[in-house]
Amino acid sequence: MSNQANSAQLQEMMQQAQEAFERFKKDKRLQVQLQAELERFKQDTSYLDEHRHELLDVYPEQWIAIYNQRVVGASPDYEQLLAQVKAKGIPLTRGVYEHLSRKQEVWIL
Amino acid sequence: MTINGVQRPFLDAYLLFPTVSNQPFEVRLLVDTGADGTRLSPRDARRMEQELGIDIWNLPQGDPDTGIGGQAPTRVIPAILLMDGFAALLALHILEPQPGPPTALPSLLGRDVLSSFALFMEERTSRVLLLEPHEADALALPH
Repeated sequence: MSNQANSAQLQEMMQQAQEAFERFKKDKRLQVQLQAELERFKQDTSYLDEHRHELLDVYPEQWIAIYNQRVVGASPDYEQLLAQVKAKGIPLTRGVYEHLSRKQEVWIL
Repeated sequence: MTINGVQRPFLDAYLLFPTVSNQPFEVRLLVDTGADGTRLSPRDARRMEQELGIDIWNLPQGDPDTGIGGQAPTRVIPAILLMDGFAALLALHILEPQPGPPTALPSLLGRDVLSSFALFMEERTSRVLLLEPHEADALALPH
């Protein structure tokens, strides 16, 4: 794709998104609904943080997925984890996905 | 969030991709004051690809990111970011997946969003707060 076509494609997508964003800002009911769902997600992330050490004992060096405060998949392979979660009918857009490891990783981003 | 004794400042957020789907996408974002923009990691992008059917290779290319490890190519998708009553439209950059299994590195909350707030982070109490201007002013902090 040329730079010009690339830029035109992005500009068109941003324009569509801007219109959707304006609609979203007016839709108070959707905002309340999403905020409630976000609270559920926060419970999942809190569950991971609070149980990290126990989970690490059970699933060392594995990827895990947590949804509704339960482990819904675990595998050393990320693609296999996603397949497990999907097989349970849980959307991959939901839940927490994390790699559990005892290795000390230093992140410099 | 504490990982092997290391506390890292994460915030929970929703992303909406209004040009492709109405489904909200749940994501943990690592607060990164050194990142110019918010970034979706390859591992989170993989979930997005599989569930929402978005082929990131068909998205427009963004400018490559420059970091300690060198340069990384990106793709761009419009996204609405939601966090506790805050909403913003972003040109969200996705780090292109590299061959092999994904790394554990997370998605990042960069200064394109953080610039709307005063950031408070305290490891002692595990708090990461994004204060709105009037909340920051009320603290009467020294200039």
